[in-house]
Amino acid sequence: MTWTDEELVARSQRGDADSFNELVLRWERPIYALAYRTIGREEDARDVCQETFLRAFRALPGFRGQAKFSSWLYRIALNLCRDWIRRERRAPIVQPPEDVDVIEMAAAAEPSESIEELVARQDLARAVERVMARLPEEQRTAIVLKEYHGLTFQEIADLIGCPLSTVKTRLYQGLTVLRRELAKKATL
Amino acid sequence: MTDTTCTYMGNRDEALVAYLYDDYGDSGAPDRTAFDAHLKTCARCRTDLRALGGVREQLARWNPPEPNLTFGNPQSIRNPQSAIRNDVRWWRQIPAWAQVAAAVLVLGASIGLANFDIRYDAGGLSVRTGWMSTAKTAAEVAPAGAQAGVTRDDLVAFGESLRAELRDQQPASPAAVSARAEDVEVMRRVRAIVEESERREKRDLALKIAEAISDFDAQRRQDLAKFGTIQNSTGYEVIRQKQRLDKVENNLQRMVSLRVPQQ
Repeated sequence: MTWTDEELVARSQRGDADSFNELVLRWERPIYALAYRTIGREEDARDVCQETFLRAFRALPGFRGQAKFSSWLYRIALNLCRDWIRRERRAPIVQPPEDVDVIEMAAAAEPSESIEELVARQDLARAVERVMARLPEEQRTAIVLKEYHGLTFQEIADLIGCPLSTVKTRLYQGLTVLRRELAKKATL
Repeated sequence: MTDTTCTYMGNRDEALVAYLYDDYGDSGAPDRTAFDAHLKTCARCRTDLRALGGVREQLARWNPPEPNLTFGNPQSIRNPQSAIRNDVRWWRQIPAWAQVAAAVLVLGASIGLANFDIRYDAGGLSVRTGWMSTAKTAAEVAPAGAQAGVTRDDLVAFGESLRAELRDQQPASPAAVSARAEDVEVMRRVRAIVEESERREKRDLALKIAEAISDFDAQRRQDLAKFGTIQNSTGYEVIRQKQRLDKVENNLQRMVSLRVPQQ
């Protein structure tokens, strides 16, 4: 039987550790992905992800379900990401691409994809990563939450505490910068 | 040519992203229908929308690296605290003094629980814990031959050493004198074996040195040959250059002789 998040939260609050484990398993990847796309470092994203669940576990008795559990987790994770950026006093770091390993690449290729296509796909992914890293934090967050986590504008507005129209404007501005920068890279 | 004027009455940027993600919230269909109608007449908005759709496609290519989330492994999770803290760095954040204190505490508790019994007596050093059964008596011990790790040779050696001790304690007798003569003989043989071994080692060492010298010599000869080839090719090149220069000089002389009328 598959429990909803709310049911698992209620069971966790009654002391059922397995239910909380289930929530961790369900949400660890999205939270890690959010952290990675926000701060750009794999190891630190893992730390943020871990810390998010630790804080959630500690604060769980006080969680009254005012927001969705996932939104609550996202908020904790985003706050931790913001702390990380403030602490590091720098923009997200884009990890340098590792040396190209043809064998590894061949393994990563889609069945219908040639190595050349795979290289192009990876180059594009790196270009996106670099441009995203240069966006202002609020624009990047809006894009990440909308594009990769499928939150509604209203949910994003509630999560980051700003008006709905601001979310849309940030998103538009961020996408416009991406459009311009990616077009520049394509012509190089 | 694309028309660059847009006549949309509302907030164009917001309308574009709402349409792009088809997210109208509570306002729903009317806003979408209105923008749909606008798009039919506005080339600029259509172009922007297409371009932003392209950006979304590119964004879809960016995936984070596969995480190694140690705390998300269902096999390792027993309780949330341990699952979440199942990271080495969590332990490293604890000050060293606290780690040492914890280690001492654990060791002390283990000793207490294990009911440690450490003895040093005529039988040597013995450590026993409460978890172990008491030492078995000789009668309970299985036959020596069946004991793992004790070979027949060990037993023979042990018997020999006992005999030697007994011999030392007894007053000198003709038999003892004879035994000592045997010992001397044994010592002589051992010395001979050691000397033979040393000789063999020296011989091996000498062979290795000779081999190394030979290798070095062969390498040197190879290098010299290679060097000679380089020299030859360089020499050949010099000769070729000289020939080329000679040829140029000859040509020049010929040209000069052609231009200057002979007197």
